[in-house]
Amino acid sequence: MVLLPTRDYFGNHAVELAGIIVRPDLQKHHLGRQLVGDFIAEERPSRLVAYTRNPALLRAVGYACRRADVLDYQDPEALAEAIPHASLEDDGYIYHVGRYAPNGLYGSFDPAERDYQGVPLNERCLLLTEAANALAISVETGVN
Amino acid sequence: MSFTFETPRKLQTNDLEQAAALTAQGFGREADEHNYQDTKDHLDGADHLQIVRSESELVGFAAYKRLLWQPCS
Repeated sequence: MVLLPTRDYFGNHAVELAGIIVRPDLQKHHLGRQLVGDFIAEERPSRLVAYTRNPALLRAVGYACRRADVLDYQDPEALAEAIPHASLEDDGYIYHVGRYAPNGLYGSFDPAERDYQGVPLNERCLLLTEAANALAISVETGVN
Repeated sequence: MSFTFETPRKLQTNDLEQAAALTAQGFGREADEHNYQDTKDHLDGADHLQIVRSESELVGFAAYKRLLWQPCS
């Protein structure tokens, strides 16, 4: 399969989650997962794609798509080939290498140091030690 | 605290200012031209926006970009 950017396509489609921003004092209220879940229910995309260093986004997508671990791929080679800008790296995970500027997107705060599935994300996904790199995920939503 | 989740809609130019202010908070910085640029970068190519409010104040958003998924032949 191949994913192509398009501005005007409204059929059976994939969607890139370009980002979630939540006011800091409300970030433990699960607003992200509800946003993503509502979007899937309303727009019914077949697949959700995202580029991120943030475990909170992985959890939001996993919750909305009913996947315990969105980094547990069935066919990583095919998946990497299908995601724009993505490559499968030696640690077995799919990245957009050099997605951000060398200092990263977040300044001194790096969410990749936080846990995902009980392990700091940047210890599981080794290329995240470089602030410019992002994970690339593509998850079936289970609708359509 | 109650939240209102708005229906996803097309991104509009005037969304950017509110989104930039929220992004600045999210990143722990003052809202300035740098954050405005960060937000523009964050939303680059996004065509749909989904907003959550608390008592009419914007407290969160998600931005989406549609892709065309073609199964391999």
